[in-house]
Amino acid sequence: MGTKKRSLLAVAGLTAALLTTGQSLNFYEEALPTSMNPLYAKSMVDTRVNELVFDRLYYHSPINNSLVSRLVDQWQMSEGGRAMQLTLKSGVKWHDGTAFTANDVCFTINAMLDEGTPSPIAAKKRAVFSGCEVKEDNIALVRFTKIFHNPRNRLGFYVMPAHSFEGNTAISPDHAFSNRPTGTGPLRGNRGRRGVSFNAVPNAHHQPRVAQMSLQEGADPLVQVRTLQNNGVQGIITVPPPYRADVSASDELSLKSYDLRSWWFVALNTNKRHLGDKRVRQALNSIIDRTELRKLSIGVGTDDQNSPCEFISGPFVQTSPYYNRGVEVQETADLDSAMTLLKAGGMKKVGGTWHYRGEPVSLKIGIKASLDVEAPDLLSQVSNQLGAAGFQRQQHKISTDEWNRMVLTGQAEDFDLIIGKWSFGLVEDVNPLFHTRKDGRGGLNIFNYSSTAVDTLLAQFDGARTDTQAQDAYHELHEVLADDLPYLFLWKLDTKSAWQTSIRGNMISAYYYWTDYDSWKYVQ
Amino acid sequence: MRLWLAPMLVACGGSSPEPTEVRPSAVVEVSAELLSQSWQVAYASPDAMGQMASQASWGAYFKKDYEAALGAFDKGSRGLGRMHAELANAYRQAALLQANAIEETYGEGQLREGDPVETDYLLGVASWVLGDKDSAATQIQGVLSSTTGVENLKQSAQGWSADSLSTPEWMGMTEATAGTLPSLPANPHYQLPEQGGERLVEASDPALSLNLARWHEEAALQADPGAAGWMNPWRLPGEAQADALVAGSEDLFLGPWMTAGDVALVSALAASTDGSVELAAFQDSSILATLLVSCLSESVDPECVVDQAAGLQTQLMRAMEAAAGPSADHAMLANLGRVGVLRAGVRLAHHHGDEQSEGLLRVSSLDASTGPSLDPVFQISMAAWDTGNRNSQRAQDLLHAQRFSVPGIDSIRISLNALSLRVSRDAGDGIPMH
Repeated sequence: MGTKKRSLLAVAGLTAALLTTGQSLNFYEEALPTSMNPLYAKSMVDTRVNELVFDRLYYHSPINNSLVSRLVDQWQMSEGGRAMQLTLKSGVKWHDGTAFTANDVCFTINAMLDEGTPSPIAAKKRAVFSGCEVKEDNIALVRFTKIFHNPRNRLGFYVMPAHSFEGNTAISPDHAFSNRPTGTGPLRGNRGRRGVSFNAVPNAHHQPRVAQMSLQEGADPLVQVRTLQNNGVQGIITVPPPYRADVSASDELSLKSYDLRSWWFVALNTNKRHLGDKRVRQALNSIIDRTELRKLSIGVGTDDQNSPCEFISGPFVQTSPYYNRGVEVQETADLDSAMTLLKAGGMKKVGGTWHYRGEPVSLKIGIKASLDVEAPDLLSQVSNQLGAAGFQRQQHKISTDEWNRMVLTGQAEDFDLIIGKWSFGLVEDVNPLFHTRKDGRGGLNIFNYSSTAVDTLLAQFDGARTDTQAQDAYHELHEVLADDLPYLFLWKLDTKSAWQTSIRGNMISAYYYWTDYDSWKYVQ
Repeated sequence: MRLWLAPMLVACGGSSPEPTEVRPSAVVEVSAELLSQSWQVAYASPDAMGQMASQASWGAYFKKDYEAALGAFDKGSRGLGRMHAELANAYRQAALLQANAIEETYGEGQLREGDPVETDYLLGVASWVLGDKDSAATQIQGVLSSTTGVENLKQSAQGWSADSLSTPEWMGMTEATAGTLPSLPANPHYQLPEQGGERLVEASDPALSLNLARWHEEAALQADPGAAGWMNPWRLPGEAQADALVAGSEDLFLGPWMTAGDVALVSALAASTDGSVELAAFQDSSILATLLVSCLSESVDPECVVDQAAGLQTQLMRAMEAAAGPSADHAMLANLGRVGVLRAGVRLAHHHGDEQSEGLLRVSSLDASTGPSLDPVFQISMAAWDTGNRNSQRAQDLLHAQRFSVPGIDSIRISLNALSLRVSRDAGDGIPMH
């Protein structure tokens, strides 16, 4: 074991000694949240924190999936099915003691409808809601843009307090609320520089049994696991596959499934001259040996059936109804094809290095830093494979802040390749990833990829009247993207958490994680 | 044994909740005599374990490679009967999953613009699987009387009656033969025209799963006439139970039930949902009954079940070590006992109509399953349960994970995909998160 590793483990031991003195529940997250305002959630960390601090108007029970609400007592359709009258539960309070009322429900809907709220989440809701009217203190009338099947499903948004914004529905992402939010959820959250502390708030609709929680940013996965084993923390949200056996072997720890549809990719900058030619991108797809990458960075062997890491050939996990099984996965490298494609794409190999228009090609490769924890060395391994094939490379780890500021906004144009991961809940809408950036669309299009054929299919998906139309559009999209390759699609990696067995009742809900926090408790 | 917990300290003031005293359940001590009846203790010695592990048949079963296991067990052996019975169980649960998916996609209040008229046929078959044969006959007859132009669907529809299972010729089912797999028959895969549209809707019905279940049941009985008892816990609604399984340690090897009494208990719990089973009646022969009796009052206490499961794991380890000295295999074998308690808890909760506890224990059981306790039958049954709750996402993951163990399972996803599309599109909007 190297000196660095030993000192990291020593720090883990010290952390354990310091943290076990209290009764708070401490856990490692993938990163710190970027915003605790639900309208500006960008990452899964943000989403999970929202679930602790706020209530969604309706949610699915993590146990039997029934659609229920902690805030609504009764509901009734009206206006021929285009509106729903909600009678709210009594006694619910915001964390600061203010009473929760119908005004808060309508404020949240109006904030989402306000064009002055530059939130991608809000923008999506504008196609669902047309308005909201406060009928009485505890009665709100929510109006929809059209008649929906099972309309309560559309009410899965987090409710925000009108008084925190003084009724101003144009909500800025920079509002102080993003760091010190007021919710009705089981915990009040306070973001500091190195973590988030949470304190339980008893309420008419929440009776949390763990009084305090502390979220810390996880770094080296070995340190995370050792700290968990030493009871320095009680949980880790994401345990990388190589460390899962260690967790399973302990009587004091349990590994828990976290249902999340996540897939990994390498985005290619199609606006770079040398990557603009589809054949060059196809060559890179043939150079990447996914089997080797998976073995070296995830620790999965070639004969592992049902591995936690399953290759994909398009922008969906294999279990999705949108996954097109007719599109084959490229599991291993095909360097001969790659060479032919590179030459056809205008590349020339000079002295073992690929050149484009007389200049050596140097690829700037980035990875979101927190992913380097989940798939250690993936960046280096991708880089090594490209290097072995004859490309010069530069490697960069991208902080969460840079990711939000540069990558998600399409301003990371100096990069050639960016390794990332997207996670989805029930809705697998990939339109923001591949649509041309214009008119509010393509909001997560990393390298501003643009294709008329792709835009047409995305529009077909958006406009689909029937399930089959939607499925057909995405099946075709899968095929087109697997050929045009704005991304090299890598794999779906399942997510497992680890918790001390002294934590009981810790039901982990799909996607949102903490939905049933009230039943979490500590025994020893 | 775990210590009682001192009251929790609460370090913050003001708005924090009052301290909650949370104590684990006292672990029930299982008698040494009963533990000695478990297959775990019978195979605790490295020699006994090595003898089993060296057999290709059990080696394949350890990996849940049923195809290899079927070829490796002796013809006419009880092990072979069990392998076929487990596959029959898996296909029965797959049929249940499909029936639930069809009900949740096209059942009352779920029809959508463009849904094909032939969905009535799918609903009829779903009713048949769910035990409502009268409704099934009416719905299927309605499709036969209609003007549907989907020829293979019409052929399928003609094969159903209250007593008979549709096996159209084009499916190509062969005679059952123990020790083999059927050449994979054609899946009832229909392309149904959308109403008012030009597209075709992909659909399948559970007939293939049911036929495969029947095929493996016949093969199981060919190998071992007593194998019907293996299928008792996994019968479909309305199906009669067979005689109880008479089982020894070798029969139960690598399974979640530790003694023959455990199998009898689980079969009894599966037979009804009226809360009539008296656990005390099984306590002399069932480790599971001995533990679960402490967790049942007016309802099932799921945390008690979790505590008993963990406690049994420790007790089994101790008993194995006492019988045969230490071995690296003991933890893995004991885990099967732990999972058995959790799954029996699922059965007990279901038997008492306690849906909440059933759900909690199902998830606990999934989380506790690893290696040989990752049992395809339980996982498909969990997927069927999720499907009935419109939880298509986890169901898809669970079903997909069985594709290497249970041949032909891939074709079942068509029904689940239809539900998944519907549920996902009902949910509306969502954006990708990094």
